[in-house]
Amino acid sequence: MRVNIEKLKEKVNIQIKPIKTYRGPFLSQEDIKELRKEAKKISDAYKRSWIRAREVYVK
Amino acid sequence: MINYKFIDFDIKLITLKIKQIFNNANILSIDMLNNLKQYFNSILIEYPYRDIEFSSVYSIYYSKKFKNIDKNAMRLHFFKENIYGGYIIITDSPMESIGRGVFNINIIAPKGFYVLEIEQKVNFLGEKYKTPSFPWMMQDTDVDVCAHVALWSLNTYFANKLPYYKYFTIGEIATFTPNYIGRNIPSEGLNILQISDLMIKMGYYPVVLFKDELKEDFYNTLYSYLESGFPILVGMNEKQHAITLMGHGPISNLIPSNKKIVYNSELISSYLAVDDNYIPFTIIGEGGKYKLEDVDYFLVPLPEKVFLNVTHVYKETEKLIEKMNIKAQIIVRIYLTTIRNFKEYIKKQNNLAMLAKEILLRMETSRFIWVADIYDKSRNIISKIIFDATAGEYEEEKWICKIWNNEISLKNSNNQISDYKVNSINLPEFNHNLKEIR
Repeated sequence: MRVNIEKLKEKVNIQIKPIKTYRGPFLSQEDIKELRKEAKKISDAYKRSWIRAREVYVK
Repeated sequence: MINYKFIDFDIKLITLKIKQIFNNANILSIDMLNNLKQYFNSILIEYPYRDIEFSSVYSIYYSKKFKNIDKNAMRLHFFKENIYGGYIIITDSPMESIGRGVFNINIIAPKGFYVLEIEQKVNFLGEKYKTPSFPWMMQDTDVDVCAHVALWSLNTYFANKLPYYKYFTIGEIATFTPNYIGRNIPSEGLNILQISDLMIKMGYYPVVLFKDELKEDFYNTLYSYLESGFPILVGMNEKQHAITLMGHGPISNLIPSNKKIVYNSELISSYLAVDDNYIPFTIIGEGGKYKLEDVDYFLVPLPEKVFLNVTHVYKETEKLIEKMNIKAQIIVRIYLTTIRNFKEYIKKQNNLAMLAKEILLRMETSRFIWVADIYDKSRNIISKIIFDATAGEYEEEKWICKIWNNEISLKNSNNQISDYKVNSINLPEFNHNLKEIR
């Protein structure tokens, strides 16, 4: 397969530098607590639907 | 971010880059890349690259070691001027630091050879590159050895080519290996029972054939299965090694004059293989790393419904040739194909008489058929015999179609034979299974 090697070299040589680097998390502890509560709700909802699905026989 | 860097093909530069990134890589094994310098002039280095095969071995072995081995791999992409030539994986493994490789078969396979190939897709920087190749990998030595890699190569070929075969990583293959004596990892090598069992677990119905049993039929048989499009796992007892055959050398025009029937395999003096000890491709036979006589047995990964072993096809072909009463010297080539591919080939023949074409397009056969092409000395096909691949070895007759002397004979599933008279039958060679490197 043919490649435009000059174009590929140009693309490879592009230097990308971040404007700043820092360690996460980005969100606050409050935000994270909220997301964990949401995750628990989703997980519980799944389990409720599994329990309901057990009783249904598809024909 | 993933780093990319273009460099000229210089082994010292490559080694330096590898040393900068990896702490444990075996630099000595990298020297082998020098063999690729004759084909490629520039390299694009990509790091980090998470390689599916190295990850599979990492999780069952390297993650448990004291040494801090990098779970990321490096990918070296090769270019020949402006042609993409494929890539090779470099890992931090202290034993064997070259992993798998995808090489453009048109660039590195020897000219005039006939090969099996698949189209492998490569992605980097959002671009998709397609490379015709055959799966190859270096053995890891601790987790996987030559037999694992030979199985991986042939299975990766099929998994890419046919939808009903599943892809297995080298780590999965090593894990699924049946125990024989002692533990499996680190591996001490596999015996033929373990190789055959692994092939069955992967979904194949292998036949295992030995040179000391088949004697002079051994190479005819080997050739026919390869010509049928099956990569073949060959074992060499003396060398304690296994490799995968995936091609054969040029067909000689020098036909031995002392034989009435010459088989195509007798006109071939070399085969092509992928070998986990060398950069591909490895020649076996004339001018190669191994002699043909080094091969002691082979395993063919057949599909379920090829019950009939090719040895019986050779024997019945000889009997039918006797009945045809052909006086001149002939060349015989026997291979397996599907009736679908065979009918596609018939459909494309514009020189074939209309009636002959319509008869052949309507014949009923098993899904897989063995075909014996019979040529005169000038390589014109003078007869074709088709055999039922689901026949049993003790069935009295296995042929289902005979094309000879402007007559087509068809045998249906109830053993009823119908003969048809046609004007002329002019058929070129059927070469659907292997591709010639030009």
